[in-house]
Amino acid sequence: MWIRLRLADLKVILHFVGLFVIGIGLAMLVPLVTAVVFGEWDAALDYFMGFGLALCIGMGMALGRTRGENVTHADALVITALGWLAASLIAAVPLALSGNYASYLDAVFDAISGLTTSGLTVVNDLDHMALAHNMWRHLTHLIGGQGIIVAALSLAVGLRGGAFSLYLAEGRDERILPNVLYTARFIWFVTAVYVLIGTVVLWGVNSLHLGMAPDRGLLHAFWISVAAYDTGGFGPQSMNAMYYHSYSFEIVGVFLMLAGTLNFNLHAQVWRGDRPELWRNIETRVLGINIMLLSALTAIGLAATRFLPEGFEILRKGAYHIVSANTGTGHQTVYPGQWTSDMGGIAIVAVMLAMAAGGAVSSTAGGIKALRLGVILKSIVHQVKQSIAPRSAVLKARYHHIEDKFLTPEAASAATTVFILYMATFITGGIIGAAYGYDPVQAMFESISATANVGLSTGITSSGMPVGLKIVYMVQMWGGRLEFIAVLTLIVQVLLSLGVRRKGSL
Amino acid sequence: MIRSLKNATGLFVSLCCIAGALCALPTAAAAASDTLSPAEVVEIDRDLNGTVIEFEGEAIGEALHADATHKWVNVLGDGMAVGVYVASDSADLVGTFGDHRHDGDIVRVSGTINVACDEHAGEFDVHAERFEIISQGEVRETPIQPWKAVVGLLGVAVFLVEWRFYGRLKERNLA
Repeated sequence: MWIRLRLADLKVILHFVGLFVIGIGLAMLVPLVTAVVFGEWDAALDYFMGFGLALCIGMGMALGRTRGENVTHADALVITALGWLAASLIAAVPLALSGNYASYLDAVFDAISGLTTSGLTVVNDLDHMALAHNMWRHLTHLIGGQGIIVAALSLAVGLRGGAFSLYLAEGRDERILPNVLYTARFIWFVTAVYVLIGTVVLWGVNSLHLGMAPDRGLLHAFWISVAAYDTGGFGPQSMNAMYYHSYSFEIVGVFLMLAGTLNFNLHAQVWRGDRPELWRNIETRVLGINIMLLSALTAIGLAATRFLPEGFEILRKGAYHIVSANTGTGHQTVYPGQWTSDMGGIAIVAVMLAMAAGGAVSSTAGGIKALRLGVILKSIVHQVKQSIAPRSAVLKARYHHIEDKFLTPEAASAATTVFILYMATFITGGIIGAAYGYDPVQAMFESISATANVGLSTGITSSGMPVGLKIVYMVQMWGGRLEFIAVLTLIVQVLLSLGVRRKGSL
Repeated sequence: MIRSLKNATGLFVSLCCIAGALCALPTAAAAASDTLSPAEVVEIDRDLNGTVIEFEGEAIGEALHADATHKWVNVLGDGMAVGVYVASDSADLVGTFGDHRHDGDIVRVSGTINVACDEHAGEFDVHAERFEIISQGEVRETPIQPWKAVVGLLGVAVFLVEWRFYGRLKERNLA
């Protein structure tokens, strides 16, 4: 049965979406202050205008609901899908005013990419961008990485009645603490700790080792820490991670990327003292095996092309990009064009597999996710075992994820459904890219990168690419971040409200 | 006879000069086209890996320490930047690096291109043999547009009215 939204539901949805828009407006105060501190008055006005518009539009939407009706599960899904879209549209306003984007659409592309922690970018002249705009681009990673709803929940901004539904709708599968508000706050606490560690260490690297000025060194350290931990992938310079020419920088980056891709629930377990959980958990096992196998495959590919002269360099380059891809970060130390010109076919395939696989559930990473892959693999093994076992035998498959669990048909089915949705989106995006005339391998690479919210690019993504393809990648990033269900619910509701449903046909 | 010989010599010299000038024209054009942009360096024919190339671009960001005697200067042009490994003395000649407020110095680099440098962990870089400043950087115009402040103020004003209205609606519903 398809349930159509009522007017009261729409008011509730608009109210919450309005609150998110106001939240994005308030977050613009950070780049506004940055602009004032560094005397970037032109950028300061961009953020003041964005702030004013966000508050005015957001409050206008929030006016609809004043009674405190509860949020249903269906409402939560639509609120989440629309909330992310509205947040991206308003976050794009100061970017569009910056002069670094060819159009408002391009600014929206980067805002969606930032909030979904994808890291694909169509910015122009990034090396001359204002510090305030760079602060905002990286702040979108910070907000989106933890989740717009988690951010609102942790501040307890009027989300009573349906808080857990909203939390789940944002692509998070697990509650870490009994209270969802405390869960949201814990997620922010973990993030704050890692970003702080990363910022301090990278500030040291930037200032002492690389000789950057203290203020620029600090800003770069913060931005890179946020982009790496939130598995985002933006960088303040057009060369991305190549700008720094530093081994220390890469090591810190890898540490942050790995920390960001782990389940927040796992962080909680380890912090509670249960360190063995790190290697007993099916997710970390799948992640570890995946990263090792694909790093080896990349190394073989790079060795075959003789692109890199020495073994250590092959390992370093290969492992860095596999970690970047598998964690969904997208920092890269090669030029986009080098994927096809220098890296060779095996390395590209390995990176595509790593991007598709993704990190842990309830983390900042995208992709299919290690837990689902583990469950699907367990399910396959279970089916094979069952087929060769005597008919009277009752077999049960188990796996460990925070606690020992039996593999149920429901869990296997849910994992397979999301797997199929990701695969279908990867392929569809790849076909569309190829239809636009791009090399099919590059088109598939870019499609996986967008859907799995990674951000590695072979060079297709640029301000000059066709508008249609920009929209396709934006939808892929949005759908991939919310793991499709929320977006599909929104689409169904829109179709129902347009009267597509015929009686008894659906 | 002597006059005609002189005329012939003069004609010969003139023809030689013209021919020389004509020959020099394509040479000069070729010399100009040999200077690449950083974007062209990145997409250079891989057969030229390890050869000496010359390119021009804008020094951006800052000079980063590479080792005791060298620095990295990232040089931008046509939307792409290349890392140049250059002696610290030469890198220190750069007075202005490109950022939001400045167009950086334009530098001409002549050096060995490495598609995967074995000295620097497989990085794509250029080891400079000659590094010169062609033109000094300058302050970029970043005009302030007051209309943005007006729109922002209007937005805040409307928000305050809406907020007050929202408060009254809530009070009425509670009552």
